[in-house]
Amino acid sequence: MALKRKPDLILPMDGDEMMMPFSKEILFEEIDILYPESPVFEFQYLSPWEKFNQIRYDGVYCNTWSKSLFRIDKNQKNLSMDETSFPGNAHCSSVPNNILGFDNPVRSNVKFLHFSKFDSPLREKKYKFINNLDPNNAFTQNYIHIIDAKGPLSGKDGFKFRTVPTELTYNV
Amino acid sequence: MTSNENNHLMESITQQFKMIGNSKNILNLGGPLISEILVKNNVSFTELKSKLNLSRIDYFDKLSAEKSWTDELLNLENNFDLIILDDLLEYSKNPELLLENLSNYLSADGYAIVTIKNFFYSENIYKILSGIMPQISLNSYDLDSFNLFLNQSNFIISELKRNQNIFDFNSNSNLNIFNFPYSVIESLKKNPEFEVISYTIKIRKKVSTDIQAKKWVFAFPKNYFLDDLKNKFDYYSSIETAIPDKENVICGLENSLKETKSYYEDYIKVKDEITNELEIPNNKKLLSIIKIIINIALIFRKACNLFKKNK
Repeated sequence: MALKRKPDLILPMDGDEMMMPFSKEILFEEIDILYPESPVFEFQYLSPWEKFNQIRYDGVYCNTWSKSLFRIDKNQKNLSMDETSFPGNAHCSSVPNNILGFDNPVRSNVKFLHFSKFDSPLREKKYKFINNLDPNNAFTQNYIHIIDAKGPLSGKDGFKFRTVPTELTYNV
Repeated sequence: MTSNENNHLMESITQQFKMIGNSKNILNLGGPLISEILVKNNVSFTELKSKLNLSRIDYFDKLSAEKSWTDELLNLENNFDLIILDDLLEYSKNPELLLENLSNYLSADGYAIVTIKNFFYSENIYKILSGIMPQISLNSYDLDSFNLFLNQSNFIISELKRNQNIFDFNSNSNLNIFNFPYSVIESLKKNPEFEVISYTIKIRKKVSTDIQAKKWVFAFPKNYFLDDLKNKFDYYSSIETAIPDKENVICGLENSLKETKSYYEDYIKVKDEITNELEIPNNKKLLSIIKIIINIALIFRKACNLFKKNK
């Protein structure tokens, strides 16, 4: 369906994330000038936590990069996603696996603010959803990092936060 | 100069010449090599270095000295379409002021062409991981730090050419290829700028005002190498059978760690004294580079400890 529209670029989004304000210039500079040949771009996802200008920054939260933008080559016949090892194809990439350059993305300086764990009710909802979908996940210790500063994906010293200038976040 | 250095110097000159395009009113602040090429191709231009008759160092100082352009260069026109700064910004005592001076002589829609070396070029990274200090200019840049510097100086990149070069271990007897197993080199190569030795960049004055956004996003490291290495360690930790590549990586990292550790102890711990000794005015940049080096050293240490535990 996406290819029928003959796009140059595709940016898949979940719907619970926003690019940091003033990202347009940075992104266009990267696409057109700095990396015009790079087919796949990867973005860092920052998680606002309880306050719009407060980012959780420990463990996996300080280093979550996700491929989210890709160019469509004129010879691209179809787009396909590989099956993941998780139930319900959880944690699959946003970028189709058959895109040229899938394994060598360029890291963008644009940041996504990912609001899926913003407050306690959202975190509880996400925690229940993912444990329902992927129960008894040993690697993440049942995704405990979503609701607490525990488990292998949290920082070893508990919660850590960084403050973003208020004009660079959204009060949604 | 080696034939390799000659090659990328010529490549850089060619890139600059292509960027000149049809510009009419040109000022060359850079060296005689560009001037020679312009003369050869019948391109008219104004040259500053020969007019001022100064040594290379004094010339650099003059370009970035406050008000010197208006005091000394009264006869210089102030609406150049193009200003060439071949190999200048890294040696200027005050590159911010150099760009500020330059912008006064650039027409509203004019461009400048600059060349910079990539501090995080593979050879420098191999040297750092082998306990050898790479050559540092007054201002050392990688693409992101240069972009941030431009942003703060109200300039923006309009065209970028990379000068690529695959580093040959045989060309440097101080570096031991056996400290860098294939897996480590593969991780290092995840950074798309790893084999870029220098950049030729066309810049213009910036019109938008979102200076702070760029400043903020550059505060987050990209960590191509460290992330890839961590993924490898996670993978190796998850498999039980010994594979030759795993042993090679451990051995290579341990050698690199040994060298990097001595580098860390001998050099980085006395960074303040070194910084003073070198009389580098722009300490922030050097310190940020040293910080990255420390981070690399620390991750190597952690990685090796992890493997020792697993063994």
